[in-house]
Amino acid sequence: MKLYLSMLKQMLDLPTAEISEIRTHLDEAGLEVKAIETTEAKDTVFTIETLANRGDHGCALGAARELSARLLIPLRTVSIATDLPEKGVSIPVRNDTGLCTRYALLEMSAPGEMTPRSEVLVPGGAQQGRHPLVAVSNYVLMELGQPTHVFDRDKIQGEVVVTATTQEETITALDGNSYRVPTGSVVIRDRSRIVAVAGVIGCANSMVTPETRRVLIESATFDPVAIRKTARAMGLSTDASHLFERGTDTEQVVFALKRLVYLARGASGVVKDASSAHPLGLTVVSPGQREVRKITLPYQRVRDEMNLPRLNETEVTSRLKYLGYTLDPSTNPKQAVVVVPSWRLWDVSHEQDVVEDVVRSIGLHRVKIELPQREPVMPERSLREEVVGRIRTPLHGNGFHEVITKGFYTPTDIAPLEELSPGYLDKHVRISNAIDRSNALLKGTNILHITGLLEDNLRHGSPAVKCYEVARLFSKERHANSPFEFERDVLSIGVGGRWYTEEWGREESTEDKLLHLKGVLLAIGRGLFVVPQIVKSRHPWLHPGYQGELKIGSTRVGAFGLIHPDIKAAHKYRFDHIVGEFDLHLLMKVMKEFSARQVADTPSIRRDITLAIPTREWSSVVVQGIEGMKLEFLSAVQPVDLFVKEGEDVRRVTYRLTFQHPERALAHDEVDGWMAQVISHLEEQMKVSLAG
Amino acid sequence: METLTTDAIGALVERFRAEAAGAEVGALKKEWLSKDGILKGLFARLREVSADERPAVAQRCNELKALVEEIVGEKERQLDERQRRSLVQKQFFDLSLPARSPGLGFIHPISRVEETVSAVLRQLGFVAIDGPVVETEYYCFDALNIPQHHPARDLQDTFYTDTGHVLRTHTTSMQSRTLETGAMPVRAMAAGGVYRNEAEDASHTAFFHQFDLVWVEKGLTLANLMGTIQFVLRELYGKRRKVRFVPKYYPYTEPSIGAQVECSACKGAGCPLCGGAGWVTVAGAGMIHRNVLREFKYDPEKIAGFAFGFGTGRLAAQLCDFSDIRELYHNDLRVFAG
Repeated sequence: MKLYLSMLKQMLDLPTAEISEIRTHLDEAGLEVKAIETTEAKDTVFTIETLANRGDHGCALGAARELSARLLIPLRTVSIATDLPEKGVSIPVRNDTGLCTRYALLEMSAPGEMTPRSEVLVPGGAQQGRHPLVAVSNYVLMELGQPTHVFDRDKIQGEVVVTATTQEETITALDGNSYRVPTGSVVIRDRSRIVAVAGVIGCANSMVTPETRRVLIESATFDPVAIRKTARAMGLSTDASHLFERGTDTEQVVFALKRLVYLARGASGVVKDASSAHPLGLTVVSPGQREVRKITLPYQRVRDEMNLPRLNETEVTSRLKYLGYTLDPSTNPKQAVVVVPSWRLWDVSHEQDVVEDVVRSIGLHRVKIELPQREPVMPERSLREEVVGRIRTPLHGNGFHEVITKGFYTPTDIAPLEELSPGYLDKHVRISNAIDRSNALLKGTNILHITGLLEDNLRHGSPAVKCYEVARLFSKERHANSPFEFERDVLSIGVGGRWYTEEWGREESTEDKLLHLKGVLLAIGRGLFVVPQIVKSRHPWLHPGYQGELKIGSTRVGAFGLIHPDIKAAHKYRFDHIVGEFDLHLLMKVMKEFSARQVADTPSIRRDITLAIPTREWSSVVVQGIEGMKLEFLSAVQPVDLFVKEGEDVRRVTYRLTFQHPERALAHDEVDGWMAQVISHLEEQMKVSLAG
Repeated sequence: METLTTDAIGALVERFRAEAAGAEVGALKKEWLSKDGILKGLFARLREVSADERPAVAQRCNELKALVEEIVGEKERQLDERQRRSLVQKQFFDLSLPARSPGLGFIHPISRVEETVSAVLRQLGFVAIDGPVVETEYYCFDALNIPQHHPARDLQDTFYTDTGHVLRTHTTSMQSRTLETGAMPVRAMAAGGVYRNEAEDASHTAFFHQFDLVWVEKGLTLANLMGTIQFVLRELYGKRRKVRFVPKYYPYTEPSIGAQVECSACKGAGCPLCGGAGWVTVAGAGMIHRNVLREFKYDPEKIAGFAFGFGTGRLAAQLCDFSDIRELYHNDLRVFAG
């Protein structure tokens, strides 16, 4: 809303000329100033963000009223014409719909020599338009918040009827564009066509021009929801619709016309020739009965809210009067009984609404601020917070940066995923009304966002890019472990470029980086106090030869590996990226509390064996096989060396077996016996032979 | 061979002293301390000495041995030191070469703000809650006193899904879900992503982050709400940062207020960053609207509550001195790495 200081000064004797002070007063009254500018005529214009429920704030009068109560300065009423004709307009006027609560039509002469007076029109200068009376109409809207509309009387045929459409119709509006007016919209018709869409915009067929000599000026109130529905359906938001949607004042309908006539007359108004513009007739239909709404406000309620036990009731009632409330005679020292002003019937219906008005006008700065006095309690972190906190430590320590990626992508983006996993597209939750086409689908995987991010950063010149995100993914298929119907949380991880941040030393291979990442995943597991392992996986979007799955106990938490070459090719990635996606709900499920481990002080005995493992077989198969023997004092099995000879279809892997008894030193003979069992098991049960 | 006497040992002492002055430690050690050395031989010959003289001779032998060990030991230490010094002189590594580090990761500024605020609120007894993003209109709007065609829905252009849901436009939807449980008292906080169907610019993104809290208990007042906000903002910004409150409108609270902090760039003087106001709005808040309380079977005549929330992205952008909020979601890691 544009608020002209000149208008404000007509209604109030402001206590200061300092613009910054006026701005503060406006801000504190709930009229937040977003910008200040100065017109050519040296008037100050405040751009104000009004409160969304306050239609009455959308004009100078509304702002003046708030300041009046805030500063306890009386409000001056504006001058109006007092001699509107008693006879009606020269055309029948009828209201056929309950969605129009009051309708007034004023007929005026409008000779062609009318010239706007610049000193008065400056505030509304932006809207100086086709006809001086349109400028006056706009001025009244900015001043009083009552929209009026000017028709060319000679273009209106036979009658004026306020009615609701029974079918969709098309109009050409004042702005020259065609619009579809939906069924049920309030419109103004003459005998043959729609001449205005009520509360939204007039039609070109009845618009005034410099040649117009007689006008009909409409002033009305309409049902806010009806106006809102129509405006939204037409895709229009006009100054008038903005005000009507928030509710206008039925008592202002005729008052605004009187003000308009006053301004249109020469001596004090906008038109030089006093005799040229004069009212010819006025018809008011559906005058209705003004609702008298009374609300009781215990003074103690305000005192409690503001923590001001000595707040005087006179101050409360004074401010309410300045806001336009009237005091009912039943008011007493304990409570005020107030009648809600006609322009506030839309938003004031309960004691709390009145409390809010009083608090705002007294000022929030006077509230005696106090923390609630309650017993101190310090709740534990939620399970999700705990898991995320524990995950972060190994990730940050290994150079992974947290990222936040957007929640959408498009069918084109996921086409290569659909190729590798047919039917994937159908599982997506789709957005029905996205303005931006890139927001068509809610993301079902974070792999594309992460790889895209890695690629972008590498192209920008970063040598090593490692990132993670605790992201929410969406799917029409309910995920068993998620508490939500269409969504689940995952930990996404990405590695692009080098592992080490500096570009020197030996080249890093994909295998190196995968093993580094494996180390981080195992560290994450240890941070959750569980024993993780990496097992074989078949994730469709990862390279079949370079992927694995994180398994904790019997739970498969998620997969990681090199992005599938088909996806790399489809997205024209220059670099190979390693990604992983792990179910956060499962991590929450398997996480354990810390418990100290029992360790033995006795010496351990280590034995190494070198085995010939088929090239495409995982070395962990042997580890699992030996562990599966459940030898009582075998405390660890792990590969310690790998040798691959060019041209051979086996790899030589050396495993180290560690034996330890919790209470005594083991004898070498005992260990020799167990090693014999192990070798026998490997050769006979697992068909793995000792390397020659 | 002559019988071993104290004089003979005295002569050996003199001999050792003379040799020790010029000999290498290795040669001395070999001659005097090895298993074929002089000392070993002396002690072997002790049994040849008469019983009367043996104690005195043995004592002299021990004295000689101690002397030899002391001087050889000292010479060895001197040799070690010389060798070490020589080695140190030769050893060199160019530490101006780049480090070999996996780097140090950082938390995203939005998460940092969320964690900081959560830690502050936990001191007041708030528990973190989580909820769905794909939400029903009931929890997102209707239960929060935002009926269909209410002007406030304009502020929150909504994404609709093909499942008949909306994407939550604010984390206040979690307030609905919390109050629905009927718990008393309620002290809950929710952080997360929200969605608005609008074109993106420097201050708007279709996906952004909010933080909301709700406190419902008997006897809470506006003064309590403002006290809680002030407590949180002081923890975030420090006690010297000025805070003020201005009226706002939210359909789900009444009275509604906005919390503003003095602009960090201009210290309240007014600058382009704060639109000349000298203040920056950081939070929206209010006493929970009676219609919302009633919707969830709380009696507004007996129970009061308040809620406040803020755009986490806005706070994070301030933290990073971003004038364009989209920077937070571009994920150019060079920016965050500092």
